[in-house]
Amino acid sequence: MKVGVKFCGHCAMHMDMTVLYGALRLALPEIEFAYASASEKWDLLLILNACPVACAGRPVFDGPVITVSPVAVDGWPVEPENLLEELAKRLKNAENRY
Amino acid sequence: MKTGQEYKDSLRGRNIKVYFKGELLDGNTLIDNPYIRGHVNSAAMTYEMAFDPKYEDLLTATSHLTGKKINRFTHIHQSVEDLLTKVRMLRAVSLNTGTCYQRCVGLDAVNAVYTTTFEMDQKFGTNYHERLVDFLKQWQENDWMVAGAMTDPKGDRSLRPSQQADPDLFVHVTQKDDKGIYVSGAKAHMTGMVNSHWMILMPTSGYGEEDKDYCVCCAVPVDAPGIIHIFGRQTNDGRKEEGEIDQGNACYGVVGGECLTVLEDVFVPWDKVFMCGEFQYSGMLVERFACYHRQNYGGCKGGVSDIVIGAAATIADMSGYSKAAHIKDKLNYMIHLTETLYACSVACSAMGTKTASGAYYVDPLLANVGKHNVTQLIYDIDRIAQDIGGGLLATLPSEADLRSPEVGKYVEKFFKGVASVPTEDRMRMVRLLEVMTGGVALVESMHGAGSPQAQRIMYSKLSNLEAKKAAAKKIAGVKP
Repeated sequence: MKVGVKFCGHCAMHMDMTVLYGALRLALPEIEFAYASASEKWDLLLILNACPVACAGRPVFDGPVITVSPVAVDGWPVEPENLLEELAKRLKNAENRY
Repeated sequence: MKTGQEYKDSLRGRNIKVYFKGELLDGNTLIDNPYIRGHVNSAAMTYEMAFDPKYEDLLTATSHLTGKKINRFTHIHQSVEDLLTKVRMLRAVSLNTGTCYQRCVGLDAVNAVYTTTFEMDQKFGTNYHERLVDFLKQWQENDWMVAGAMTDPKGDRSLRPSQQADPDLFVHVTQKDDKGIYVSGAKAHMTGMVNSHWMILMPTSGYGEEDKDYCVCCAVPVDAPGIIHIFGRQTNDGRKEEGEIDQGNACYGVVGGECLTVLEDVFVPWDKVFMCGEFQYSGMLVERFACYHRQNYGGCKGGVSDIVIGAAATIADMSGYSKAAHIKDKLNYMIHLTETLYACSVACSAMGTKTASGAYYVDPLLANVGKHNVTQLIYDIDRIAQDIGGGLLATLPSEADLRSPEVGKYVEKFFKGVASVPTEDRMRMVRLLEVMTGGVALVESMHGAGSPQAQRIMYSKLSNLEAKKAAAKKIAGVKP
């Protein structure tokens, strides 16, 4: 499964999402991650927002999307220290379906 | 798009003439000059961040002219979301530089000229807008840094341009021929000018017919024949010839590296002329530029204030008083003031509207309120930061003393705070706070994008006082 990753721009950095992204890549070596660019295709879009406003622009994409902020995943509250675990669980589930 | 390094390299080939402390600097090595280097690094950040996936959502846009991915500092705002993204971008860049990165001025100039020329052409049948679009395509393709040049020296402020004893106190057209125009005068307080590729000259105010020769807007290379720049001095700038610590922000400097730009019969071909005598639109151009530029201040100063708050809080940590209730209270107040500034920039963007050209324009009243707040609240933020920072901000010995074989041990010993924190780190943080809260940094907040009176003037014009009086009369039962 290929996951396209999009960052918000970090104008109000409550959490450095590049650090979370790095940890996610280490935790899930079986999943291919790449920055979401218009020229590439991916199976799932992961949008990483550095603050709760979660304002990142969303590329045109019809597939599944996971939107993350320091306090939530897809709008569901998640403690910051549990974000990695929660995301890993969701991505593994998505991979199993894929 | 250019990378940061490509931007720096592109500055070396210019034939620019910059004077500093009475000497003409070598154009090829200008960007390495210790007094200028930091400002170049800061501007380069606007290029570097556009290539970083972490920031590209803010720093890039899609050109409405070519459909290509461009640096947002060359973009014409196509929506309210674009206006909001601009503010977020400014805060993000400030968080990485801690100072001005200069490039917003050209961005604001081109958006103002874009919207104004479109309307002016409808009125007069001119083709200024088409010329600007052609220039903008080159600008976006080459990812130029363009300085916005508005403020004239102004001489006797009680006199209009044509009444001045010296006509050069305002930039004006001296002659025209079939190839173009010639302009003379000067522009003051030019942010980022010496590390730009081009400048956009604009009139400094709205004028009547008697001053139509002063109603000129055009694009000129910063190294065109007839142009010299005289680089300004800054508070404590001699520290730039010494070590790193005493500079406070050695990598990026303080404010924007301003200069006086002198123009003597500078030739501008017609295809780079966007206004020439249309005095009826000079006021519109100035007002639009001013409002776009005033929109910025809660974004950029918000980010700069984030650094000031961080520095003050870190000094409190390093000195062992961060748990004191009054320190927490003061930090919270600084956050309150900073977010107030940011809120105004967000608000004037959110209330932005579409112009006839299709480009979006901020709510001018809220933009002015935001900048006006900056002329006051930054002083409050910095005053509280100095309160937290302590007298050390004014009395700290130099880096040379820290390194001295004779007295370094005393500096190390007596300027230590919490035992686990190296004295050098504490000194670095104190110096950062010192340079960010005094001297040129404060003056820039007062006068950049217009002095406070320039914003006050806009209030009566934009807020409709008569409607407020009518509403009060209605509620009080006073018949009209």
